[in-house]
Amino acid sequence: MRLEELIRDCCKNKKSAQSKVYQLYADQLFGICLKYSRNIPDAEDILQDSFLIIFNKINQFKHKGSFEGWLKRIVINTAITKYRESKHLYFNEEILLNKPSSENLTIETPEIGLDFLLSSIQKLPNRYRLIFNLYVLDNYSHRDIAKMLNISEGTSKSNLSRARKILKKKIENYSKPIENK
Amino acid sequence: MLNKSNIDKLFIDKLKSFQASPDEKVWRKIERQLKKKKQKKGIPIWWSYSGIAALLILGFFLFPISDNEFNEIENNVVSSPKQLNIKKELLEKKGNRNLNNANKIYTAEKKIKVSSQKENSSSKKMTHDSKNNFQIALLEKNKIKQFIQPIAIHIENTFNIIEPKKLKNKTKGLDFSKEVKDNIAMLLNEEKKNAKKKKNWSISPLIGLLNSNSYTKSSPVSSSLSNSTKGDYTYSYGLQVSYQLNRKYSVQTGLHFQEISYQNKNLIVALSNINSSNINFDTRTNFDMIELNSNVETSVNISAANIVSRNGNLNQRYGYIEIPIEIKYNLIEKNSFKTELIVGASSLFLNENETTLETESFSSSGKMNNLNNINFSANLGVLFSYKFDKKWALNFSPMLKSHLNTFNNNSNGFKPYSFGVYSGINLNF
Repeated sequence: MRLEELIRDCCKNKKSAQSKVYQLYADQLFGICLKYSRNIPDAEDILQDSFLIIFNKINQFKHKGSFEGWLKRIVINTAITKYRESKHLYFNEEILLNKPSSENLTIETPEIGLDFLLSSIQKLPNRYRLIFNLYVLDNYSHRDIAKMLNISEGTSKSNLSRARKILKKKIENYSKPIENK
Repeated sequence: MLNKSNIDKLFIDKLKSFQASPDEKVWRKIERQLKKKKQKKGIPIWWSYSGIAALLILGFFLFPISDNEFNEIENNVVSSPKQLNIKKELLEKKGNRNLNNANKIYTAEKKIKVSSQKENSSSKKMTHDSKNNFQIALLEKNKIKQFIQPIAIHIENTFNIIEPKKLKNKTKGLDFSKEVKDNIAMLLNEEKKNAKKKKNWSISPLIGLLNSNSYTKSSPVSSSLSNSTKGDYTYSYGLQVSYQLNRKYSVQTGLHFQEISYQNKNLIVALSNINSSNINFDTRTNFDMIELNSNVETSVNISAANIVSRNGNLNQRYGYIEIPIEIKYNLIEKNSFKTELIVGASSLFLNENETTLETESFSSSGKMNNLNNINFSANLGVLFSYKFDKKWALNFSPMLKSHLNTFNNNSNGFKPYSFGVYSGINLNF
């Protein structure tokens, strides 16, 4: 079945079409949910809400641009709505930032697991996590991020650099034991 | 070395195309929600018919309201904050609750009217139990505030009038969302504020134009002047203070300066040895005064030789400090116009007593010697007021004040009264 037909059937609320769309895109979208969320349950919620919005608004999809892109946008927006409000820094971050930075450290390329990277992102403070994802992984500009999160471009940039600092510390701490071997 | 782009690259490499399979329960949840939505869409059509029918029937119950408290509700017209706008539209549909059957809720002054409904047994889709299920839409002034748990309309006996202070009790134990609880709390608070805000006092500077007269045709000066006494126009000015007891009654008092004046014109004036009038002239002269055209023989003995003028004017002026105490009864109140009946009495304290006799050749002043220092009047009048603001009003009142104790015994049966028209501006607080 071609994608257009599939979408048309979804507009008519055909269960089989909706189920098929889910099968085709759930894995990819769930990956995005995990990157933007704090944990698996949150990610599942975002995925569920996103799909409900998708099936609700599918008749608004104008076939301009890719369907996949449209789906991604919805997921990202759902995630932003969920986490945008949070303003608080996590306690961890303060501690991490105060430790001296070890710029000179050469890291042998240990196999830093995907799980570790994912969980590092998930542990970031909400806004930092959103901005890191939007900028680094999804290629939004600081200007767009500022609009989406209702902050200034400057805040977006400084949040990103702090996010990177935190991630860097985490990775360094992860790598240290290996080095001492 | 980890620098900016290294970190980015690290994450991008591993996570950019990251995918993961969600648990099956996620799809099941999605499926369930989609099913719910589908079912919901089937309902509205025939429900809305029953909703409209119910509304019409409700309308029958609503409009012939003869209840005194709701007298102020006029069909679809709000002309003052006390009145309401009765909206015939259905209330907004909200979320996933079936809100097709609308209730009309009113606030009338301080009462919140709530439509209570019982579940219609034919509604299979309803999942909540019928006992104690309330439909409360709280109308704040004219806006529809919140709407919860609607159920089918039960046609008989759909009205409950709940006063705001009882609302809390009536809704105890019912499970409302936080939003509705907040709304109820807010409405109760507003009730309290409104009660405090009520403006019971009013103060009003008043100016009146009076005409003095007598119930009897006589003269307090002398019996020889009975027919010629004419009342003059005089002023009164002062400050009035009023307190509203309830919707119908209010009391008022104040402080006014009042003047009464009478004139006798075209008098024949003659010198006299004895004082035949009740005037003490400053010059200690005595005059006989007779009206022109009167029967000279009946009253005073005048010899032509003593006549000093055939064209004298006598003017009497009494001034009082008036302290009234009156009750006002609200006869009619519509829109911003109020008509009240005033009944009361005033204490009058004499502070001016001047009588002047004027002829072509001289004028002589004196005082009435039969005036009492303390006088009383019985007051009767009507007050018309127009409220153009919460605080300000214009008032206009014609009043009849009968003086009861103006003179001591020696007054030839003169019974003075004044008819005046007063107007002023009220300040309510």
